[in-house]
Amino acid sequence: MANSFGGLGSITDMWLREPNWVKNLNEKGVVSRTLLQFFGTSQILYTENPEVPVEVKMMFMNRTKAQEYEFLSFFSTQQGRLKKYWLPEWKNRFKLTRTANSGESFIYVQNRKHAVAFQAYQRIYLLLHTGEWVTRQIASITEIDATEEKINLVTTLDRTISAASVSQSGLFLLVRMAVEKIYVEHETINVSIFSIESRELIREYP
Amino acid sequence: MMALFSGRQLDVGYAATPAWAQAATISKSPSETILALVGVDPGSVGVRQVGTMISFGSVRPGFRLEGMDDLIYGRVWLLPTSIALGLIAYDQDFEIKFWNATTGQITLNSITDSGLLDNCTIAASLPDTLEPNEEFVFTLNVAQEGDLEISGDKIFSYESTSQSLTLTGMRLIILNGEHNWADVFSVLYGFETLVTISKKLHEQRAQVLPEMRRMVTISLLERNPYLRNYLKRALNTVIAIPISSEPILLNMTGSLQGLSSLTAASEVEYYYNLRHLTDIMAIINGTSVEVRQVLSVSGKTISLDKGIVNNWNAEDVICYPLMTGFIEALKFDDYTAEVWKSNLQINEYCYGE
Repeated sequence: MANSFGGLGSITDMWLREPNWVKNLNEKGVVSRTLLQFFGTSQILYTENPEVPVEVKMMFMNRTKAQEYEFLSFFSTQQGRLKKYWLPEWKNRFKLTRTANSGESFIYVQNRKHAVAFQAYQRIYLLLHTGEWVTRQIASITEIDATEEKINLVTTLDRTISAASVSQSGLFLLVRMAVEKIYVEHETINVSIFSIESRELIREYP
Repeated sequence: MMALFSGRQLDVGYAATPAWAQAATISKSPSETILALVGVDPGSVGVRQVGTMISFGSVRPGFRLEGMDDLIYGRVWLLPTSIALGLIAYDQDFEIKFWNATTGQITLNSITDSGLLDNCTIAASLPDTLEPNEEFVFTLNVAQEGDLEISGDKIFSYESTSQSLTLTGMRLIILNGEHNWADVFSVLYGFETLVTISKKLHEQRAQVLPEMRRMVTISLLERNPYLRNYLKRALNTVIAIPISSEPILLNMTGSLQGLSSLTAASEVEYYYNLRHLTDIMAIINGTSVEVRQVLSVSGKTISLDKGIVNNWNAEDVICYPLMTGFIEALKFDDYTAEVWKSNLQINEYCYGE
């Protein structure tokens, strides 16, 4: 079967190449709070937003000129920090506990307190061992018991997915470039490395 | 009445307020560039290049206004009288017109150089005679190779007088040293955008620079004194450097002379700089460089603006897309009395049309 990119709205740009794990993948939460404190007084913390957008930095390697061309073409379409794209977070966040059947709009995953951090804009991706991607918008997350959570999806799955067939499952982030200048460092004519910093756009999820 | 020539365009302001009538269209100029009146507001008449010639004059008997004929005829025209060549990256041709607008025969004796005009040539077989209204059209060729500075006059001598064509410009310095692959060759690709973010994390984003700009870091390990001198000369001006990550080897044999289409052995279809960010390419043979404008890249075929001048074998050359830029900083590390190293950071130079 082919990829099944569901729940992504009209935004079609995405960067799906796996990062080079030689260098750590960095993620940080974006602070949005105001701390009120006068000299020698107690403090008052105003929470501006319950959501926490993330900034991720990933290093990639081009092994061929075709890969380099692919990246530069992608970077050119993003026009620096102007446009937005989908980016898998490359973390194994969700572990399926039961087989998800075709036509169902939910999956069961290990209870890792996903419900605590759930926001209504979140998208999930399932990267299968076949290399195919399945993405869906998450409708809600409910805790079944101490070991299991149920993730309700906005739309149904188009295939049956067993736990063993999933290579990785995490959040599919809507991001823009966090920087507008990117170094491509050529170690040889064909081999080059570069890093992409991306910032999540929590107000712009479709 | 005043007249001003700027390049090939004639602008005329007419200060009188004549009672005039438009006469029949006439055709006096042998050149393709003919003048016509535009804007007939009382007190001022403008002239610009169009396609037909209209004469005018007073209807009052015994009174003759100065006409366009008086402005144009009775003299010899050299067009243009000056060319600002700017930065010369590759061979360029310019059309030069020498028009005898007198009623008599004249002889153009010679075209001589005054000043720094290395490899700026006009092919002409002189002396030659021009009949009244006859025009010579010459081609001025400014070669990419030659002395860096161009500043001088081409003097057209005829009868006992002369007219000058002034040329000014600067040849692009091309760095043809190989990158030292012991170091990383890096290219910074950048846009400029403006982002404002509210406390609630809403964003407004605007595009400041829609085109990619580059900054290249190249490492040189050389024992070549001429390259060092060129770098010093180029520090305060514009330099062209090869994008070392996109070398173009040719899948051809024999002489390249006259060829304007090259077949590459390298993966040029994936050379982003060559295809999207550069319009000039260096063909390097040892220490000699020829620069050609790249018109298109299709598959492994590179189309150039015109044929290669040098008689070089395809097996002997290597080509690179060029980036014009300015050196951010210049520092040499001398390993020995002869061998030196330099890491150059070069920012892309973006200039308007």
